[in-house]
Amino acid sequence: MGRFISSRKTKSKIIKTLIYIFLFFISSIVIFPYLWMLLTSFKPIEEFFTYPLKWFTKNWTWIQYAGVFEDPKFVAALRNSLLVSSIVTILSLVLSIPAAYGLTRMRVIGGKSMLLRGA
Amino acid sequence: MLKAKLKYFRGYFFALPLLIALTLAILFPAIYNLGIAFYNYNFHSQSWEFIGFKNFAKLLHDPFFWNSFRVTLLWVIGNVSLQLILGLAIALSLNSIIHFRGPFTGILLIPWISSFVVVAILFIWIYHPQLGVLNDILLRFGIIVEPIAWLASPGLAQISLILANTWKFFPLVMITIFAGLQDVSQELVEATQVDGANWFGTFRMVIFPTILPSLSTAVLLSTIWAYNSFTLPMVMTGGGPLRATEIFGLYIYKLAFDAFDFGAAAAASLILFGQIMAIIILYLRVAEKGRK
Repeated sequence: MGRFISSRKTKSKIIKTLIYIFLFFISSIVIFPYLWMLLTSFKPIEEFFTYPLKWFTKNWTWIQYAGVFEDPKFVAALRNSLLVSSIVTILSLVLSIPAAYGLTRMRVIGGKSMLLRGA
Repeated sequence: MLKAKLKYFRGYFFALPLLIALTLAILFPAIYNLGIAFYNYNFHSQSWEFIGFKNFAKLLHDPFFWNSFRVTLLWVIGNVSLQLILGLAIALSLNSIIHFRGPFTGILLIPWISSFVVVAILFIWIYHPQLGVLNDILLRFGIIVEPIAWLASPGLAQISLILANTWKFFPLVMITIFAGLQDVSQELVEATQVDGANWFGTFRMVIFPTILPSLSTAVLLSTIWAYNSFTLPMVMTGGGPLRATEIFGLYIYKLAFDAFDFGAAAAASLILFGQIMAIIILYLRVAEKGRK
């Protein structure tokens, strides 16, 4: 009986380890495109177009970041994004908070089907 | 009497601003779309002519319509099944670990907060035959001998897009199932283990029935999103090569804004709407049955 329990314990330890390895593997795949983007962002542009690929550059540079912030188009796009997302957030809150209050806190004919509560 | 009845409509007063906004933004365009599906737009005279069901008949005789029908079906099945398998496996794994749960969840949610256009451009370069890192890795490990043109070959473009889209979308499925797993009764799990059930037995008898609602919500959401996809294929392949990735969204877009056949495009979007509606109704039926 004691042996049975201990073999069960080692078995579950192995499974735990495998789960961690699986999660580590998946997380690496998931984050890899972003790491690749990060590495690329510090490369001089000529090295991006060399074949075969160089993973790590010897000439680290901030020049792309500086270039982006000097580009008036980028700054305009950033401002537009901020503007659109703020207005959308404010508008949807202003519109949906009273609606949610009215349809859930008060007894409403047809309110359930309105909120897809039937689902 | 009237006053008593009015009481039940008071809630609508609060919902009125939202209802007006939704009417203007969604209901009117939808009705307008329904209308022009029965009209033909003449580009030269810029006039509309009522033609009944001819737009629908035209679509059914268009081989490209059936092409995008098939492509969309494969796209939806591929995306939903991959996302479900990945999401379920990861959610179960996350749920069974104690350490590093936060960091893992954080990393795995990154794709979900990324913009579709960023993901599309990122993957265009990852899939690039010469400059792409995917070919580079596969060549280094000797898995392939020659660079593969992932997005340029009709046979591979679709699966490449599905993989990119799955990368972007699986976190939603994962997090929905993970939330469902928090409802699993630990006592029931232990009871099955005492009774000698193996892992699969516990999963089938306890875990699966508990997470079924969140599982079906995740499937429904990912199905609807897959059907309505547009940005990723538009940016990455534009429907090519040889229309191998032309899902419905792109087909409709091309009909409307390349061919200026607005009537047929409206009819095609109604057909897309019908497909999605059929799936939602099916889902509601199944969900209703599952509760009984």
